[in-house]
Amino acid sequence: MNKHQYTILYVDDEQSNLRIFRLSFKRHYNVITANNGYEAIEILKKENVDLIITDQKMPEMTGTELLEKTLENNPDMIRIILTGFSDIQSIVKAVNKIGIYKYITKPYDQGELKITLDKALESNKLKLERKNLLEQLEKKNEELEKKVEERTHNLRVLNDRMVESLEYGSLVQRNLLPSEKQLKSAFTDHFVLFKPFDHVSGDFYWFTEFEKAGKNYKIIALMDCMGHGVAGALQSSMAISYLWQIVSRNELTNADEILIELDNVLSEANISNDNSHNSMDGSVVVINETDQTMCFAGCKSDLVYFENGEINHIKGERFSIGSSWNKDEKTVTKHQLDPKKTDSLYMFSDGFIDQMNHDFTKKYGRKQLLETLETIKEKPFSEQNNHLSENLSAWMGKTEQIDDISLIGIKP
Amino acid sequence: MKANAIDIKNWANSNISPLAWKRIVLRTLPTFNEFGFELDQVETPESNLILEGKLLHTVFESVDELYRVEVPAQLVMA
Repeated sequence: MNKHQYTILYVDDEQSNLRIFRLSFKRHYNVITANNGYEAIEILKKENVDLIITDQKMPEMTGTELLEKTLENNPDMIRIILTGFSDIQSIVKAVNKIGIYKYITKPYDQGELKITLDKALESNKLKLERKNLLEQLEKKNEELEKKVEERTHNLRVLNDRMVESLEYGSLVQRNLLPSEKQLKSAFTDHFVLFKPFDHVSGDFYWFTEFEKAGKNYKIIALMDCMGHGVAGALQSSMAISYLWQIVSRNELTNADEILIELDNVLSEANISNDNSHNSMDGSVVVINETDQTMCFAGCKSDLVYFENGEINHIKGERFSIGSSWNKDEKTVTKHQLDPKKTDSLYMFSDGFIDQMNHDFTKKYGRKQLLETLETIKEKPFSEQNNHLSENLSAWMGKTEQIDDISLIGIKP
Repeated sequence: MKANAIDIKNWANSNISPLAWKRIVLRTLPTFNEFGFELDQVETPESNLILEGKLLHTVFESVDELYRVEVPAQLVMA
């Protein structure tokens, strides 16, 4: 142990005891001595003392009184009482009240006292180090907390800005969709169940009606662009623009031709844009009001319809529009339907059937959707919409929605 | 008067700051040590760690000193 590492203050009213202590321990510690309690207090004001060892029985101020007075200014100092008589009771009280490390009875054994002092100093050193480390840790945590607060604030500002932008985007996107009024005037009845995963959606539906060669056409499409959120929404805006171009410019009136043309445009765009892989699933229904014909085509998107009360299910092609499939293999079938016999038809994106249940173990599934539609086929459309929505909510429980969900019901 | 340590921890971390409980615990650690609790036992308390008497009082004091807020009455059991 470094001789000068620790300072010990020894207090005793007998000069001979002070001299013996100094001589015994000066080789091991910085030893300071005091003749009485008042002198000791004065020394403590000037010196940095690690351990005080005091005689109990002194005139004017006893050892325990002295130690009590040192508590306020030297709380971490080790306190030891040296007592020449067996006033154990008052010492025990002091041990609890003042936090005395140990009392030693006179005469003391020098070797044993040395061990006691070393042990006390060492454990006090560790205690102070621990206290110091805790203080440092507290300070660091305080700094960290301030940083977290600052970053949280910055993130909140950024998030608010993004949400504001997305909400505006959502408004813009909804304006691109056909209005309720438009659909209401076009069909006997209809409903739209549209639940974007995020503020903006990769799903969209599209409608137009026009006259060509004296015949009235109504075309409705439901598309599900790859991804969701902003990426899906940008694709959907692009796809809406393509649909307008394809149908208006080319006056296409066959569902399969519309999808093929959309695939051409999207595939070309993908190639010219560094082979990107923008693709979408979707279906189109074209109603020729004049000739009372109706056709459907779908790419990875199905149609469910009721004909004379019987449920029918047409599966879409196995490829996505704009996907990298071999062009020769991308054939789209046009399915003819009879609008006079068709009670109702349903177009939907995969968001509904892929939705996981409450414990994330099962998808809603196509089969269950068909069964649900079968059970509600007689209900008015407004009720069907509510039923499907509630049914899906019950299925999900607290599980989060995993994709954009769209389902359109139409009575032609 | 007593309170569940987890309730106070959750309240502090959600309503004051994510580091609040850590700071409260560090400040009150000597008192917890007196009662035989180590840092990790208090930092991630078990669901049955009930604070009362001196421990609860120290935690309340620490919350007040650090954040100038009071622990909500609904977290305290009679």
